[in-house]
Amino acid sequence: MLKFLLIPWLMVLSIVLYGQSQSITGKVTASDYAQGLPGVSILVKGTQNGTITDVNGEYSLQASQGDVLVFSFVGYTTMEVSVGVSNRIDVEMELNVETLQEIVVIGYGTRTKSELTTAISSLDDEVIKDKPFVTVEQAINGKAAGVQVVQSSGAPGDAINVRIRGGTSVGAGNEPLYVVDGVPVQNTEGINPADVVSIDILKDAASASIYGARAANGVVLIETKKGEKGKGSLDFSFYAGFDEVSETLPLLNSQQYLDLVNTSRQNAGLPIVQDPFNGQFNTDFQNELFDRATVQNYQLGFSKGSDDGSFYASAGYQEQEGVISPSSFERFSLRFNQNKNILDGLKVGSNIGLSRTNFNVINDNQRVNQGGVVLSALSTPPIIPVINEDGTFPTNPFQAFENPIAIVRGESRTSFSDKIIGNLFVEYDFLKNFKFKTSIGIDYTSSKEDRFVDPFITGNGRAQQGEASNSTFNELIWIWENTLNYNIDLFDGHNLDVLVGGSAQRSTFESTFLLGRGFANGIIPTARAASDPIAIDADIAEWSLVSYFLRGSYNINRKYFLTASIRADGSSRFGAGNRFGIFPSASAAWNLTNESFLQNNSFLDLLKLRYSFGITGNQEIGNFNSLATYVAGADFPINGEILPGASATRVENESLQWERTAQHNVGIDVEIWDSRLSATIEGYYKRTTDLLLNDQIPNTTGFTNALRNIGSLDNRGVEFALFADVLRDKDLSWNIGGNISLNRNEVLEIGSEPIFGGGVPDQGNVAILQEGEPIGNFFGFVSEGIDDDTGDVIFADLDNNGIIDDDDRQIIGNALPDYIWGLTNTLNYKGVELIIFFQGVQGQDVYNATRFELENQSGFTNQSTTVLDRWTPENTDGTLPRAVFGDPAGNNRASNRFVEDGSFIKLRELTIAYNLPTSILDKLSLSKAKIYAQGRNLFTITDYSGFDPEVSRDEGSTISPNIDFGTFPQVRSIIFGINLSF
Amino acid sequence: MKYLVKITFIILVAGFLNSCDDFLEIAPVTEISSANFFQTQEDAEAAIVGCFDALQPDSYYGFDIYIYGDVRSDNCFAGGDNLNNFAIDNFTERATNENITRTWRQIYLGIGRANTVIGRVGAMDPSVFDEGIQDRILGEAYFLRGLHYFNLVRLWGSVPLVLSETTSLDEDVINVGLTPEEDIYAQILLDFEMAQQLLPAALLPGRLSKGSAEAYLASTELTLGNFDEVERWTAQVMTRGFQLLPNFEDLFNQQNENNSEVIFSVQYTGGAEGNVFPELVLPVPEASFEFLKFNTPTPNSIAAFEAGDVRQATSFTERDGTLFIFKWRNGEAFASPDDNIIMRYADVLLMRAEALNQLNRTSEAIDLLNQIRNRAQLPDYSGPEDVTDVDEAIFNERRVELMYEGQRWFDLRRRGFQVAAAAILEAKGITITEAQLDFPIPQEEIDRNPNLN
Repeated sequence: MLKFLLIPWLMVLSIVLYGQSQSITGKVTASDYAQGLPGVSILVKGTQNGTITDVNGEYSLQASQGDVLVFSFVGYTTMEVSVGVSNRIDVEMELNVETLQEIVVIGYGTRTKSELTTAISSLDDEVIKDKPFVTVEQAINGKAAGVQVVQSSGAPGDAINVRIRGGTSVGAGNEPLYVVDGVPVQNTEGINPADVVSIDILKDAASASIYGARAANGVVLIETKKGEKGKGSLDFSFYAGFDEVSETLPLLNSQQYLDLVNTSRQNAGLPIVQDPFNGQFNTDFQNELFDRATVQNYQLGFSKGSDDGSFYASAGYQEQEGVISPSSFERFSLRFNQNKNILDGLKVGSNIGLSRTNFNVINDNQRVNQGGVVLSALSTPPIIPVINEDGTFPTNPFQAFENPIAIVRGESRTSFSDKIIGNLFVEYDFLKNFKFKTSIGIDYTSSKEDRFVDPFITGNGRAQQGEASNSTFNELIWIWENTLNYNIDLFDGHNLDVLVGGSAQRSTFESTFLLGRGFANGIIPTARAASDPIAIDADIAEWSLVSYFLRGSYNINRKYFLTASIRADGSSRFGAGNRFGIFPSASAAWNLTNESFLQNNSFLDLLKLRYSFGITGNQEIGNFNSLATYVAGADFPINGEILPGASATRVENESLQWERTAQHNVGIDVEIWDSRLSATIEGYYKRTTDLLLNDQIPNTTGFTNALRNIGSLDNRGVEFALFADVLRDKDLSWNIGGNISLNRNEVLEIGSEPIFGGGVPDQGNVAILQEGEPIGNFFGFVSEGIDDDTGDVIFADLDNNGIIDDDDRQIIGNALPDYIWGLTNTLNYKGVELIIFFQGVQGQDVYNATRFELENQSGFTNQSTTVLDRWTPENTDGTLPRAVFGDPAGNNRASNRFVEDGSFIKLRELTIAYNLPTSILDKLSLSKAKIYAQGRNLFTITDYSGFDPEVSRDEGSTISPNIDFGTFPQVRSIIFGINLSF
Repeated sequence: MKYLVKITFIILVAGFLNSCDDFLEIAPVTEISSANFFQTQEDAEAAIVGCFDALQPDSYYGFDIYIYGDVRSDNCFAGGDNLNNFAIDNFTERATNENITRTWRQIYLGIGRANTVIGRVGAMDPSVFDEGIQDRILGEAYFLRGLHYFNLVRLWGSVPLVLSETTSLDEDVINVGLTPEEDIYAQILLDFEMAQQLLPAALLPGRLSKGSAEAYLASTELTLGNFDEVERWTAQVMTRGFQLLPNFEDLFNQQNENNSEVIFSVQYTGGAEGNVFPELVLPVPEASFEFLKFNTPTPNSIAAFEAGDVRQATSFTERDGTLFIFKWRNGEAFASPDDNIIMRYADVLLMRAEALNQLNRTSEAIDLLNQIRNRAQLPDYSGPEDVTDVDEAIFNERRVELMYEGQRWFDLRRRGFQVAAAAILEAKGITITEAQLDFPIPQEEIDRNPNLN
């Protein structure tokens, strides 16, 4: 997992000596590598004249006697050799442990890994390039210890939830802050993963607290590619492939369906029903709905760098269809990154990304009567055809619920989102120790979503005579930041670095919505063709944030490192007296390997101990939540005339303020055997107080909930990351990167009553948040099996009062994993590269409400084949209770019957790639060429009975994660790709 | 250069410090903060419209009130496919029943809005209002609050009594315990009396008037068995200009909404202000969709009609052997323009008849009963003229006249457990317990309010 970033070497001006130019040749070897070292950069000092070594480490260039040749190569100490009389200069380069350290991006600066005092996971572009990702978050999955990435469905471009060291908040969001090239952004939607060069995840409070009020869930710093010094390059990459649904569920056929429904009706004393199609059909709606989907990606990039600036430009196009047509994701993106020294010490630059993202969305996570496509595919009776002879779509004949094909054809939901994320900066170095930087950044979004219900295809559409809604959203966030940096070597190896800065940020957004009905035809799909205007809305709001920050770092002989920082943030979102929050931090590290007693140790390359403490905040709530406001829309007609009404939104709460998270972190970094093996172990403890909780208050107040600062919760955990260079041979290399992390969570206080959530239709709330328990608990009755005599479920009478009532519910599972891990093996053999990446989640439970829909045996929906083994007088050992229409015995109430172990191991990635050898590249005038094939999620080892254990209807909800309820299934992908560099 | 940069930086920082209070002071644009609301007559009008809006959803007068009034009684079966409705029908409801929970929530939402209007509009400067408007708005708010508590007390018995807007999140303020039934009733009477004083006397289509409050005063007193008071208030209503429509069928005709018999209705116009109930209960083609319809008539309710009663054809219909209630006629895909009539003049006449009979003014009672019967094209009452028999006749007439209008369970309940239990047993074969006259307080509420444990 270590990365060897190219460090831009600053050239020192020197006197150029003129002399007789001669041809110098030689060979560069290395202390640890007796063969020639290819790719070493050689420059005649003070000139642009230079070359690089070839495959055998040989070079040749023109230089004059007295010139100084500078040999540089990543990971080795730069050497300077004067040209003497000899025409041949052979050089053996020394491995440099310091520069082997990756550069880690921290807030408002960079550090080498050996200088770090805090917990940061650094990922390079190996985790992201050539992979069919549409968002940056996907790349983090399984690669960083302590970071759980949950892709809650297989819908293309679906939102991904990232939890860094567990969730800290119930009501104010748990997503980390994303900062792209220094600009904090709302989300990563517009960022093309192919433009990303590094991802640094600030995990502890001391590293994140420089982002103060928004850092409680950690900070993800994303850097996009910059031009690299040396020869310019033109890179083209392409991949294409397909996704398919990884699993389908076994359902009843027509005969089995009718038998079941009529058995259940007879058992309830109801008349039986007839098949209106007389057994003509036996439709497999899953087969009709799920389809193989194509993915493709094109990326073209140019870059060039020199001493006084660099340039990177790229254009990308990415398309991902969904396995449920017509869902799809499509993105066009452009990026321009550049910087230039325009005056002595004055550098200006900009990083600008433009993107358009198009989505087609289908409705999942809903019951069929709410238009949920997946549950429609699962529960529509097989007795009906997909389409009638007259071109209409039949519904469930007993309930008027639409079949899935009708839903996806009868309703379209398309949207686009345009984004501009970028900044313009000026950096000024003066008095050799000072650096001033001012930067203006923007995060601009303009998006529109259109929904159209065809007036003919579905019953709902016919009844409304078609319906169209159009909504727009427009937000401009600007941020102006100023920092002054002072860095000085004091005496005897003491170094001081001070950063002081301030920023002002403001968002203005507007949204509009209109809804119309009454379409004469399905040709014009916008509200223009609607004869009935139903609803219009326009919303405008703003928020702002003002911040000041100060950070000092001190190190003594690179042995003792101390850093302290403080940030003050003021937010418009809180009550007038509570706007400013102060977020301090302190951290220290001791690098034992730089102590004299370990200097002569040849075994240990790095041994460092770290401790940090800090406080971070969370302000991700609505804009005016401290105020009681009135909104329009509570209309009522009097004698046919609709009068405008207004209603209060909430109870005023002037005391609303920041949520605070304090975190302690201890870490040990070890590297041994020439850094062949490196490991990091971290332990942390964090406590969030003043939880911003959307507290469920008594309904008698006239409101159902209120946002309050109540309660606290803890997260504590251990993370372990390991990297091993098992083989470092020229022809054969093998490295292993692995991580494992566990997090434990406990809710300490959330007010007097538990908070319920995760409502499932007909089952009620199945999740509970309760003091003394972790978040993510499922709640319900406890099944003790099936009564042999009645065929009903026996529920445990927990309070022994003789009746089964709501007091007999208890915690029946937990959605949080015991531990998560990832393991990547990378092998290279003469240009052939093999990547095998496994990922696992152990000990998480999933509430399978999809199975409740498929095993309730109490209505007209189709059911799983598991119901064939239901209790009957003849089959008293059945695994499921008897079938009774209406479920009078309450067999299907929320219970542990529907809680399943969602542990899994997935083969996330299997890639085989071939890098063409130089001999062929030269003929093709290419500097690099790679072809590869990649499979993702090729198999999953799990006991989970649904489509996939990676599922969450309520996405990243703190209260009710891991509920499976007709969620868009996960996919398996196979792609083929090619990368060319000129 | 050094100074230049330093100065620039100082200016920047100083600039932030100076402007940051203003920079962080952001007022909402598309929401109105409470400090700026309740300034004008339009604000007050918008707030009272919001109070009426609270009546419309399916969780209240849009559906659930008909489940409690009819499905809970001997009039209807649950129909449909919803387990919550089945439970109410079969008297197997639990405290987690979603209908019961959502109705509780909605009624208290309505009470919260009414409390806000009573407090805030009452405190407004009268000079910003046109003549009579402030009183009218306050009268409407008192009426609605009385109505909400009248529903609460008849569904749950003792409930928390909240009479002011919630402006604080202190536990002491928001965790309100139960108030005994009799105190709730006392408050209901106070609210309807306030409404009676404040509302205008004039009848305007679709608007509340003094007569509306008087009709509910009568209804509340009848529930309490105070027949003198019922007589007094119904006499008042009879001076207000309401009248029976000559033709019963016309009463429910979409063309005749807000006719002179309607005393209070929850109104709809279709579309965004549409009524879901008709689609839920009507057959195709009156409804848009074919599915198992809700609130299906019991055979017992059909048998309650005498031969020749014209109300049969208006009240229910039979299609392909299946019975449907039929007092609404337009399903319109869950967005019907049909109003839900909640109180009408025939109800007042029958309340008066019931009271007069109990006050030993039986012949006057029979006159009123005959008015109702004659409109239904039935002959005069010809049974024995003792108080008990006439009472039973009036009570049966009341059932038939108001059939499927969401009233029956409340009538059974006020007549006592024996009457209610006998009716349910006869129509549905279910034996109920006395405790089942009240719904359980929703589990959700108990979970949120420790004072209800």
